[in-house]
Amino acid sequence: MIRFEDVHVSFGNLEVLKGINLVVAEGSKTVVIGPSGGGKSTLLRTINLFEKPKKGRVLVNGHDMNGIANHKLYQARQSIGMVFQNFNLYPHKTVLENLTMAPILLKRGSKQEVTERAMANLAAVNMTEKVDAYPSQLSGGQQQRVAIARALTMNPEILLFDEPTSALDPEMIQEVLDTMERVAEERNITMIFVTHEMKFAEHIADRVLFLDGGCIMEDDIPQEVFHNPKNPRTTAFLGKILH
Amino acid sequence: MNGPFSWRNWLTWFQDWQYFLQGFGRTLWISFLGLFFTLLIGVAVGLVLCGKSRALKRLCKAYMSFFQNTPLVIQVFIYYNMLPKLGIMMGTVTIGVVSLALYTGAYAADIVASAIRAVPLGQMEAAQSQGFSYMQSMMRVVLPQAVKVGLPPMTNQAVNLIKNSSVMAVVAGGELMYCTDSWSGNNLIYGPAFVMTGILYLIICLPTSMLARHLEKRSLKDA
Ligand SMILES: Nc1ncnc2c1ncn2[C@@H]1O[C@H](COP(=O)(O)OP(=O)(O)O)[C@@H](O)[C@H]1O
Ligand SMILES: [Mg+2]
Repeated sequence: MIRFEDVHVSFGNLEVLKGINLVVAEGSKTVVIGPSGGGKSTLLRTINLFEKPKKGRVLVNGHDMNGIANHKLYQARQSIGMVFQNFNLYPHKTVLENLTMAPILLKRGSKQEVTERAMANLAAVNMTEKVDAYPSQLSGGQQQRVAIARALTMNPEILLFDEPTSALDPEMIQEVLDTMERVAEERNITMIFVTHEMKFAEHIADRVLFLDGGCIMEDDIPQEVFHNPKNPRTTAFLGKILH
Repeated sequence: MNGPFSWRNWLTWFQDWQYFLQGFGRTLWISFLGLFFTLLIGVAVGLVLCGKSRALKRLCKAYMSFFQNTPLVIQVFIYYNMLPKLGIMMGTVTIGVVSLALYTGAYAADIVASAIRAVPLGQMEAAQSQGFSYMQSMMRVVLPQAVKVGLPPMTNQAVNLIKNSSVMAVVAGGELMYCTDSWSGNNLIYGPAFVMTGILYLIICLPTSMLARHLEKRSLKDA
């Protein structure tokens, strides 16, 4: 479970999150939408303490990420996967090594266990035949699917997706959306997606948040947010996105 | 044939080739050790330059400014003439290694720092998101990629270091340049000695330079 308690985050004088209160249930799938600069990435990055709250706190499974010792923070991050807009695969490692390096070194299982898990996850994202390829030899969509498999191979409890399809050529978006949809359905992992893919959100989300100006302006099931928004800013945003 | 390049002069030089070989060997040894410590200093200081501690950063920048902006020959003189007065005695090989490493390390640090900065920030973030500490992320993910960027300019620094080892001649370093200098003075034969010494430096430096250029081309192709 993730709990935000009156979380404020600032960069210099710019307050980017203005008192977020939020509880994300275990195993739930949340989609965060909102205009650029609204604080979506910052919201995700506060969960693994890439950004520190200036005020308030974020509790992950009851632990305040800001209060704990460094080695505890690193350990907590092992259970919080992140999938980035630009994939960020390790270019000097093969696909398999991308998946296995961290879990082996950080002892998330024996070498054999981790390798088996990695192969299973590669199969889950349909990338088995590229096991020995290097990231530069893959298309954007393939890289992102490998990145998803990399995050899964850590056996995370939480997975954060920050605009995973925004950097992709249009023809590759669907393969990644399909992959994420499958993963979301099959795994009991708490997932938060920042995305502008509304169809995807309607399919997989238990809940959609509309984040604007550092505040949660709307928080409801997808049908309500998309078809019956309460906040005029949501309506305006959806109008822009859909046309 | 008469003059500085007479047959007799060449012959005299060839009779003493072992003396030059000894100097050549010492140049190689000093350069090898110097390069080793240059890399250590370069990586350590480069990491500090990319790190968070302002105090350490300032210290490292002061080190670099000082060593980049004073002639190496003066640094060597200080180690040789002044440090013994403070009770610090070093042999000439040690002086050679220390002075070359501190001097070249000041440049190597810049190379390491810019190579680290050339690796996209997302790499550090990806590694940290998986639970690696800052240092683990550096060692496992960022530095291996930075090596590609930093290797060509670092190889150029290696060439500089080898050539710069010749300043050890001023403190009787026993290396190639010193041997050449003293042998020429004793025999009053300058031509062949300096030409052959130039060729010996060329023999180590030219392939190293070519390696640097090759690495540079390859890293441009990969990028
Ligand atoms: N590291 C940073 N330093 C300074 N400003 C930042 C930094 N990261 C984000 N910001 C600013 O914070 C605001 C929110 O950014 P972000 O969370 O990335 O929004 P979103 O993901 O919704 O587009 C933006 O105005 C952005 O410029
Ligand atoms: Mg963003």
